Amino acid sequence: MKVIIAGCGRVGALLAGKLSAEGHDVAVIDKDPTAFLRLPKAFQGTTVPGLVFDRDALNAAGADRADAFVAVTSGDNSNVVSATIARDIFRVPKVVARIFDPRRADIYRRLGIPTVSSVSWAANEILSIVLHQELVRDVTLGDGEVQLVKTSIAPRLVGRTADDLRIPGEVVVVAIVRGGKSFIPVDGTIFREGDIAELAVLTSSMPKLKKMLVP
Amino acid sequence: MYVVIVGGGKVGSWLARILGEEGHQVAVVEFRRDTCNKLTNEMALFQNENVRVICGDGDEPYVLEDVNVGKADAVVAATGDDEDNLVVCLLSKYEYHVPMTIARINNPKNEWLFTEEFGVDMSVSNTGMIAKLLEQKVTETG
Repeated sequence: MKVIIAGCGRVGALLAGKLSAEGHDVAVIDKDPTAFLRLPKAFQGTTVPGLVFDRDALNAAGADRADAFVAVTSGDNSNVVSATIARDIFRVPKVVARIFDPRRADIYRRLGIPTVSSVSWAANEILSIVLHQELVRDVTLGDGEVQLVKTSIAPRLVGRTADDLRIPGEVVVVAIVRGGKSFIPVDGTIFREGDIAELAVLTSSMPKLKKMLVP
Repeated sequence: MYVVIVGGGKVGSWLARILGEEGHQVAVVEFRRDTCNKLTNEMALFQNENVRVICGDGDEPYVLEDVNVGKADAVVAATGDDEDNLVVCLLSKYEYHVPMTIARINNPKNEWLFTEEFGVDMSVSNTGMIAKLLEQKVTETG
């Protein structure tokens, strides 16, 4: 796969290194040539000094034949501008922009530019650590709206069904780990002592889940 | 007419003054605090009550909403950064449905970007204009 990475900061350099190590054809653009020093020694791809929305730089990086374009400069505006060019002018099939401002990230997403909002993601991560310690967070999805959390089943829930922990659209038990083996619960699966439940939960419904687990 | 101008440097402030004197309602959004204060004093000096100066980042949705951009008849993106001007037009046109957007092009190399994709209705490039005039003159004089 041919991937263009706009911005060689921490995220850009890390991504470029990983993709290159996996054998992908990677081109990195950054206005500051010293930024390329962040790339790992083993990096096999090309580096293009220049502005991420400059036509010559994009052509040099091979934007017209790229399979994916990733905009991760430190500037939200540069990211959205370069991502829009990649999508609308160079017709790159997969485009994603990192946007710090959560409000703008939402707007751009609605306008059809896939965005990753690292600020709301970090805030949600921190919130879940600070506020819900008895729940261990495994994975967050999207921008952190939904997360997968695990909890050991409290004695008072033993004998209750996995369905008892369900709130449609908000909380659902997706798997149970019993004796070191996991399975997906069916209607009427009953919790046993020592079970660990893996739940998918809306971040905004975490307080509700917490109340169900520890009333 | 209600016009929102993002960027209160030489271009933005001059435009605000003219529009204000002609009786239009104008909001100027300027990010730099010192430029903002200078602009406020200048407008007071000219007793230009039609011009409101707002200190803030015109790329931020909440700043644009503060100046009621959704009610604007036109938005002028006149900052010194082309990517900022593009984002101002993009947000104004596609998020707030402003009927007319006008952008200033700083670097002629970026001219190709000032199109419908970024919600730009019209754009003005000083350097580009001078280059065209010179070219014309050269062709005329042979």
